[in-house]
Amino acid sequence: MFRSPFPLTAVALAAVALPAAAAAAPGPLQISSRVMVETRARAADGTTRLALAPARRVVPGDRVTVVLAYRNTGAQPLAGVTLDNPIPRGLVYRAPAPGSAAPAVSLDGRRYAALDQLRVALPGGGTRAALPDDVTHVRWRLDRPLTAGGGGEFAFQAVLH
Amino acid sequence: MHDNPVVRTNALRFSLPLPLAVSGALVVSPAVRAQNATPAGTVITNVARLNVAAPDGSTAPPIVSNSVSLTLAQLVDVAVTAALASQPVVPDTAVAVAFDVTNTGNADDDFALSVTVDAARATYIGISADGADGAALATPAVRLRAGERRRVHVLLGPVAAGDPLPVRLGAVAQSASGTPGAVRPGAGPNGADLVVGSGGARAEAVTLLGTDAAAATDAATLAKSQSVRAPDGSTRAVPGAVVTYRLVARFTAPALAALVEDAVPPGTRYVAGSLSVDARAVSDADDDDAGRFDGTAIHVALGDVPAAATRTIRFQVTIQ
Repeated sequence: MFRSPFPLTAVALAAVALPAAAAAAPGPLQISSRVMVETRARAADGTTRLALAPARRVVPGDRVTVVLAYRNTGAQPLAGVTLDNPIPRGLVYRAPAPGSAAPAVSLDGRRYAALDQLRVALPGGGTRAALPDDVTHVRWRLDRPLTAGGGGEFAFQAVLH
Repeated sequence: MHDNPVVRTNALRFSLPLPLAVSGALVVSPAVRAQNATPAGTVITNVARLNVAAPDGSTAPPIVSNSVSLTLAQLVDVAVTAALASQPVVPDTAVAVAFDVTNTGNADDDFALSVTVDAARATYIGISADGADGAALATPAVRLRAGERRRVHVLLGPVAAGDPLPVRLGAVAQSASGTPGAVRPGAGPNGADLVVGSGGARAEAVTLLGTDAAAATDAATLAKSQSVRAPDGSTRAVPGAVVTYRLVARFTAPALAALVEDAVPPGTRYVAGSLSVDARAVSDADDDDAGRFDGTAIHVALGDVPAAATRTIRFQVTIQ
């Protein structure tokens, strides 16, 4: 990887510097993420209800919901807002969570599209349709400016691998 | 890694041959993802990012969310399958019964093995983890990596004739077993919790031994036929003619690790790359596929074959 002809050092330094810069200058936009699991809670009337609770103990095969919450705490509307979430290693993307807008997905972190618009190159030539397992990043784009004080949530489901 | 903000690592990884858009679809060669379950104790960290386009169209540094970390608990479970549901044996002959034990958890573990068989019908000798001809384990247990499958053989003395004889192999994980979902806080690696899997971390499988002598002795037949194509289009066996051999293996009873070998006749030369099994080509090299040519004979490993199955092998030689 370090024999790459690209100016890797500069790229790596820039990448490392990003979170620090963001932390040093907190803007009016806030984002938080939380990872929830489906739990079955028994109500007093004997029925069982599905509820989302923060994930504490997870094993391979567990289904989780990753929730992204965002808010504009400033006094001005903000245009051109996107939220993205690289799928961490150990999680496999499944689908948008019920009630959430579907994200654009990416297989490489660069190009985003609807899942059914993506194809995967096969080693021996040819291609196949992309599957949820192939997704490495998800992204939501707000089509309208985010009003002052406005906010919302997006969520996707994933499985512990 | 594609979690932290080093997206550019991905960009570099995919900057080799540029995928092309085909009929409106993006084509990407994704990174190879690990096939095995994520190891117990792994910390999975999720970070989301918010981007705002600057008025001049440039992209400002993203705003990074809090990071949420999950520590993957140790899942303990095991699966046992019988290589054959029923296995023909010749009466009064020692027999090895094959089972596969799989660590379906996500951490290394020891699995204690136990055998149940009617002692009045067959003498239990032991369990081999080293093939049907291997020695019995001193302690009937195997250590398996996460996801690893191991074939073991239950070794029995001569089986007395009679009704089908059930042979059961049980496996129990040694780190924990019992009620599915039971938790031992902090008992896993890196302080992770340990959770008993849905199978209770114990499993069992059974094979029925049949002592029908006819079935055991005529378990498989092999028929060989040939066709000749000479350079002049005729079927005369002249130098330069290509002979296609067809070997049909018929199994009347299930067979374990069936192997077909056939030497190339003297005065002929094997046609490289001509070997196929059930019309599917297999390479001549000694590699992952079922077949190989070693310079004098073809070898085809058919593996475990169920009863009433047929396998057709083809290869070609040139008459010298």
